[in-house]
Amino acid sequence: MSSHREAPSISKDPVADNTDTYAFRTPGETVTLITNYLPAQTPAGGPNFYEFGDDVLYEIKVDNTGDGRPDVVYQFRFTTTVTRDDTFLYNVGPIESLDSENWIRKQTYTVTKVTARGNQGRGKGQTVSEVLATDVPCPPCNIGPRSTPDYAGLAQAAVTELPGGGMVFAGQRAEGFFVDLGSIFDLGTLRPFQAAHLIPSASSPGVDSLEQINVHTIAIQVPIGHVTRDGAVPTDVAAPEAVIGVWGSASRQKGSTRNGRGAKADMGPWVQVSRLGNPLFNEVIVPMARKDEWNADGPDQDAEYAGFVAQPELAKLLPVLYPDVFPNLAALTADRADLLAILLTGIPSGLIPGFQNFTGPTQADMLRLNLAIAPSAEPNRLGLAAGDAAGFPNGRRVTDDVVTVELRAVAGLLYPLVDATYTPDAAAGGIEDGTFATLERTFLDVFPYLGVPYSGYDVPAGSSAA
Amino acid sequence: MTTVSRRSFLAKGGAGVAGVATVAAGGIALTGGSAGAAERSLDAEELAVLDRPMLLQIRDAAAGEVEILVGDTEIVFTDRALVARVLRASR
Repeated sequence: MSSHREAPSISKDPVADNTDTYAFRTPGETVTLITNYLPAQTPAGGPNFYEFGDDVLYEIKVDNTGDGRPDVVYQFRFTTTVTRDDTFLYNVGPIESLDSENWIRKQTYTVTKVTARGNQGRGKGQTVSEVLATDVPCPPCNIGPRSTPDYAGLAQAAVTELPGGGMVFAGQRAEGFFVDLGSIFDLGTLRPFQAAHLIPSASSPGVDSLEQINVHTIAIQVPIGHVTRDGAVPTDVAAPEAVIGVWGSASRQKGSTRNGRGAKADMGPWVQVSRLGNPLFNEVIVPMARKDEWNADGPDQDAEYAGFVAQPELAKLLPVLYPDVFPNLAALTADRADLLAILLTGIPSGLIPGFQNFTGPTQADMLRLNLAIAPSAEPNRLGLAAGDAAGFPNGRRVTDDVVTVELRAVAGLLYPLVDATYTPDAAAGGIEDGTFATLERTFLDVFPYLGVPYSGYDVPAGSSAA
Repeated sequence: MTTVSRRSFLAKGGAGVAGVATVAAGGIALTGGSAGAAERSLDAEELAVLDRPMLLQIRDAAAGEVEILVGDTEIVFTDRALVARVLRASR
């Protein structure tokens, strides 16, 4: 949910709201790509439990040539089937298998791989489409012990192997992203540092606004060679072909009509309405007046937004909101070459020993993943900033604390990478998303990695400990 | 299915939202052209091809530019006479 309801238009269209994207290397020379949609689901979702949109085109896109255009696209189209017309219920008994007759409203999906020919990018050259799987079942939502008595097993049964290697999953998951949303958007308050705020209050721990919340996940794991430009598994960290850019998106058809009796027809080409590469890019960098436009653009158009990265509004606000805490940041007026690299081009060789995820001069918001870097045996939630090169901003794992990493980066902690004469403020290395100390998240150590969703029976609305 | 001519379509289009006309489960004959273009009813084969919802939108009234949204495609053509009649019908 690093980009949940982040723009005026998409905040009114949750089914198409792309909230988080993850990309990370996984065992067996595979890469896992995940995009989330449908933010802020209270687990008690009945009677109309959450589901993907049949009228939405969901995509996970990979750029392996550095031009900000997709070279490999995984498309997902959903179909909802209602098996009975004589009940108001989602299920009329326990759902113990994915083909249970007790489950009235089922969803399946098709997975299609679209590949650009000749490394020209999908917008420039011809493409080849290959249907990888059809009628793939989604699991139901996690309803409760009577309706979904073995939810973990039921959902895991929806993990489907793909021809040629890999696997796919689409369905409800526990939200993995954590942030003190209520605090941050109250004039940039950072619990527990609110005593230092311009409008001070007593210090108190961070509050995880997304605790016990669910989301809908599309996850695909494929052999690394399926997404690299030369079809190989890279071994040289310094090689340009080792780096891919990844983002998710959702599109709707350009035209839509309603017949006045509940039926809707869609027609015309697909128009992108949401996307997500780096967490929080649209949320805290792009001005509100341009957020909808950004959601409709492709990453190859992100040079238009580079000025907001070079002179980020949040970096100017921090010294104002926290007087005398960020004097060095306040004096830093040069363009933020550190943020431009992290978010828009990747980090070139020479800045961090033994690391690069540079994709070239094209400024494009994508998660950049150097696939020559093996998964970490002991992942650090602060990723690359803490010496763990397998984590954000080298791709993004489900456990990475991206809010803290980006807060510290905006505060100038990494600016010495591009200007050795700059000394970060002491606070730049201390600020963090205050929720981590009390965080309660459970992740899986196997695909699809995001945790089992909370059940509506066990976590009814309003019962969150938060 | 009712045979729909351009003339009957235009009559229906006048009830639509300004700038947008819709045809459900039918189609229109497009001769791409001039105000005096010949009109005829569609035959069964043509209707079968167009047996999908479609939406016509005037993209640029001054230029007579119209776009058709059908299936997952968009077709753009210029017909100043058609645009003029749609606009007059929408008053």
